[in-house]
Amino acid sequence: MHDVLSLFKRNINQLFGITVDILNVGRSLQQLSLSMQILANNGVVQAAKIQGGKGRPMLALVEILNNTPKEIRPEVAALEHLCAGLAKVTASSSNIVWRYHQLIASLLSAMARGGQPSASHDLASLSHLRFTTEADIAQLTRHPSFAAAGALERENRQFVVTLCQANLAELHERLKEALRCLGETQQALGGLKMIGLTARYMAFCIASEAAGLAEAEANFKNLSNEITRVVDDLDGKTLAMKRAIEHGQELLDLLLKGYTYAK
Amino acid sequence: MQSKVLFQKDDHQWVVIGRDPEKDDHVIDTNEYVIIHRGQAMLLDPGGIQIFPQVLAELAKYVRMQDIKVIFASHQDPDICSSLAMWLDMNPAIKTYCSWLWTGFVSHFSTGAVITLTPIPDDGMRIKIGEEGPEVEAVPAHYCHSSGNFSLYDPTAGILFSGDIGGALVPDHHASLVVTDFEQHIQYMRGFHLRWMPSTVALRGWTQRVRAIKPRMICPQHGSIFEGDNVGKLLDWLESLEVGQWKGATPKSETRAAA
Repeated sequence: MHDVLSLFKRNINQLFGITVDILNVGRSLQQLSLSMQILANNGVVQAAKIQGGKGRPMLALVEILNNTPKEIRPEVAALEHLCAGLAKVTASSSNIVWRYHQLIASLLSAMARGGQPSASHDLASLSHLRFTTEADIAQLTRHPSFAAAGALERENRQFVVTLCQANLAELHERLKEALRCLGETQQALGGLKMIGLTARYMAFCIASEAAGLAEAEANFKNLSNEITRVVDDLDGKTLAMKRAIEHGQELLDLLLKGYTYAK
Repeated sequence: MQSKVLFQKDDHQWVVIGRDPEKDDHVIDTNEYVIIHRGQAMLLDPGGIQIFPQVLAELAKYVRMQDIKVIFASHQDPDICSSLAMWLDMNPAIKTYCSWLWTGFVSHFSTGAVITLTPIPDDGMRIKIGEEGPEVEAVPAHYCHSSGNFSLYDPTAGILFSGDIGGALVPDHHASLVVTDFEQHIQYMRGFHLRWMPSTVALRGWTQRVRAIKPRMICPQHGSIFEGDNVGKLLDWLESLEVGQWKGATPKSETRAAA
């Protein structure tokens, strides 16, 4: 009867996977910033070789590029911090939903063996309940078999219901916190995209400047292509992260409404 | 899950909960016991997390959830107390006792809130049932299965909770909760003891301690309960056992060559 709740529980655990996806992409950006650093150093060396002051504009451009890795690192560190927060919230949510699931199972078990031969059969009328919302719990308590017990058992059932309600409310708070974490991660991602855009523009400027440097043109064109490739990689990774975040947001939106995600 | 009142005198009651027909086949069958004195309860080996809902549902017939004051864990195994976090989440004021050897290990069953355990010293101790209740006694049973292991004796009821000692793997949930034919029951206990009890010396030491206590009923965590003449028969049978005798398989020739 509480199959939906089992799926709900699994869905919450899926947030771990999403967090790991985001974290992995974040960490791969560190590697990318190293590649960018090597390219920038290479550019500085190549620009220094150009004689007669013609290399100065190029030197200025690669110096700007040289700053890109320094800009990426704190953004990635911020992402890691956010992901760590998200993992913590997810772990807490996972614990709460696990407890909640056991408590609902206890109630259903007690109601099914409530001493009346028809009690188990009667519970079939609750099969539509998902037990993922306050309303579902309220409906459970209104079912005749909930009250079909002695005073002590009724008191205990009410006690467990109160615990279920508290757990569900706490779970919703955690899920909202997770949603906030994902929103902040999305904002941090915006910063990385801006860095990528700047680097791409630098690559374009380097390629333009290289056109006037007959003897070094090929080297700088190569450098520009390499930068573009690295920025493409950055864009790909940020896109993957954006999708992971959006998937997480979609999942959390559903869970907060009491729905599950079956894909 | 079935439940049965084993003892009832004045405000003192023993209840056993076990034989769950809904339990998954891969989960070993367990008996959970509760001592209730003047409405306050002590839960003995509350069981694994898998069966928590069924135990709670059954226990709800006998005691207010807020009145479970004490939990006793005979040892550290998951079938004994992996549900501990659930019970403590329900009532963080429950005082939980287990061997000092396992407090740091059992704490790993936590699912959020820190599990604080009261360590039982090797020589055992007296434990109060609830705030005002009488005392029960943790009886050392080390190396009678676990290296940090306790039985629990309730002098008021004359019942000894023996943990895994006297345990049996009964065929199904229809098996009687109380042993009716001891000779017939041995077949379900023999393998259990030969494999899960590591020390004959320890087991014989335990039977001597228990003979001195003279319980009128012995309640194991698996299998069926012994009362009347069957208590003595169980102790005699345990004394006759040579346990912990596994000599190891013959190594394969490749393994010997590699060595």
